[in-house]
Amino acid sequence: MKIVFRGVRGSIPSPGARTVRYGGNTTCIEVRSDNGELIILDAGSGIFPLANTLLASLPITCHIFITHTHWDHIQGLPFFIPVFIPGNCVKIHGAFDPVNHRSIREVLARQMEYSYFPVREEELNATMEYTTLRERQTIEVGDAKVTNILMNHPVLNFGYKVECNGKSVFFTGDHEWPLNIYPDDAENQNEMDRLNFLEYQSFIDERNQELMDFIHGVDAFIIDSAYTDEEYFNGKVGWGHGTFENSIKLARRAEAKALYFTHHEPTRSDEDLEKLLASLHERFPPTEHDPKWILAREGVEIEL
Amino acid sequence: MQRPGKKILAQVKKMPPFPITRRRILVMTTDVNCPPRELLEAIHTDPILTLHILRQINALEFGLAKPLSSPKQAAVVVGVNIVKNLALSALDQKPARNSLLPEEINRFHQLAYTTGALARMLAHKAKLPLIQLQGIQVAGLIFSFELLAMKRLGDDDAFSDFFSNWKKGSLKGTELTMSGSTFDHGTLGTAIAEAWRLPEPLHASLANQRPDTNDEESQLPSPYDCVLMASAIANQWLLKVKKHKLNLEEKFPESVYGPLFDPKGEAAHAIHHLWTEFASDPELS
Ligand SMILES: [Zn+2]
Ligand SMILES: [Zn+2]
Repeated sequence: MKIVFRGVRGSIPSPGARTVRYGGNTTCIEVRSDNGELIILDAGSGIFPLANTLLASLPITCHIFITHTHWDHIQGLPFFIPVFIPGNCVKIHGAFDPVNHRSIREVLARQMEYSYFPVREEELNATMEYTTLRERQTIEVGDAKVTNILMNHPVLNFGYKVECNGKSVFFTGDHEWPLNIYPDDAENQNEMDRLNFLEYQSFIDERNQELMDFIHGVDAFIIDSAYTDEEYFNGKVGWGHGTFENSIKLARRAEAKALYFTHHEPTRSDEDLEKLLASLHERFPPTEHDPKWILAREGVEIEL
Repeated sequence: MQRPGKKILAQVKKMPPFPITRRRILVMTTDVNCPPRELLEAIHTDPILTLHILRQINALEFGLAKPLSSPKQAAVVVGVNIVKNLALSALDQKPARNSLLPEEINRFHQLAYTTGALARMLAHKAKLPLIQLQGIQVAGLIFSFELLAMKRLGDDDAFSDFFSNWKKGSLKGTELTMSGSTFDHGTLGTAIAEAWRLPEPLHASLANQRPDTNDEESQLPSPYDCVLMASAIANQWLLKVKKHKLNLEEKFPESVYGPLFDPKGEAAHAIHHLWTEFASDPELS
């Protein structure tokens, strides 16, 4: 299996000299199975450079899996050129919107409405197929299979695991590891407050265990690490993203073989990112059992 | 006894949340930084809102691998913003014309809240697993929901009958006639629980049935036993209904649970205090 990062930035495309090495495009990951099946995780602006590489080999069939429908994960979709060319087949998968009762097709079609885009979804020339996924539903894509799990984010978000011939990659999409909403203060808490804390914690522990079981042993763990712990606890709690420090803990616990930090903050320069990684090595010296820690970088190809 | 049809379920779905919860949540969600704790606790006082959220979350098309039994659990699994938006979508519905007096509505609301809080306390005292407690609280909260639903579908006379039966403590016998069909409240509850994919103990609570899996031999109360007992105590506290025989005395021995039964005891005081704090916010009046 082969992975290429096509967009590693969170929130908004961030081109410019400060981000030229790690890249300014928003989330998109190209995955190729051993037999060459094309699986695309998210359709941020990074899907546009990917589309350009595909033009030499048309017609194509590809499978796009949307983690969630925030702009930075879908904004490239109307610019994914193969959708305009007859003969191509684009299969899009994603979650149901439980708040507005919309299928993935209905949610995505809205960004191609008259006010936002000149071509309507109905007018696309490729064969478009949509699948609204149930949690843990497995989709077979040739020699690979893709399974999802629900993550914690302000909109419904699926993390995807792609497996092929014994190798696997897991991508969180955007995810905030849930925090207890009750303080942990055994010494000073009355019985009721203590119970509130312990009970909520039991939900968190159960959920984290389910996620860890799902991710356990993956060869590549690609994880939303938008913030540092310091940034997170100073005003970003509840925004739906993870931290570098927590990602390290989780990758250790999941016994992942390699850890890729992604969803880089738009304001973080290449230099900032590298400084950050160096400081993590100092603060949490890696052990021999640790996975490799890598900053996801646009254009980099990984062979699993 | 007839099974309620789709039309009735559709009407039940349209029930608006209680006025106090509605006001509370609309006020608190004008602040984008509204603490999740306040929001979730407000949702957890209201059986209609709680059921609305669980119905959406557990809906087949949403496709959750495992149904969830409380909004707090949903907040951990899918994120609090989704729970918040589901709550707001329920509040979007126009409050329906309701022939109930505001005091009656608030009384029902308080009773539901008290039953839920007590069921959780009983379950905690019985050392049931922590992970089950919130589901048991919700089961207590919605215990009498279908009675309220029938009120909305039925007529006022039927509801007066219901209240008088309730006060007599003979809930089981309650039957209401609606447009020529008769439903037992457990029958409507079962239909709701099945159509909305509610897990145990919520299913048992709405259906007013002991789940099959309950081990009758066990000395420990089951989640549903806690709900039944909580309802009996709450009725005794708030409606002055005499404690009636539930054949659960072995599972709730006086020596262990005694203080919970006392309407002037600490538990009654604590729950009443929490309710008053929730229901009477000076900022809202
Ligand atoms: Zn994002
Ligand atoms: Zn997002």
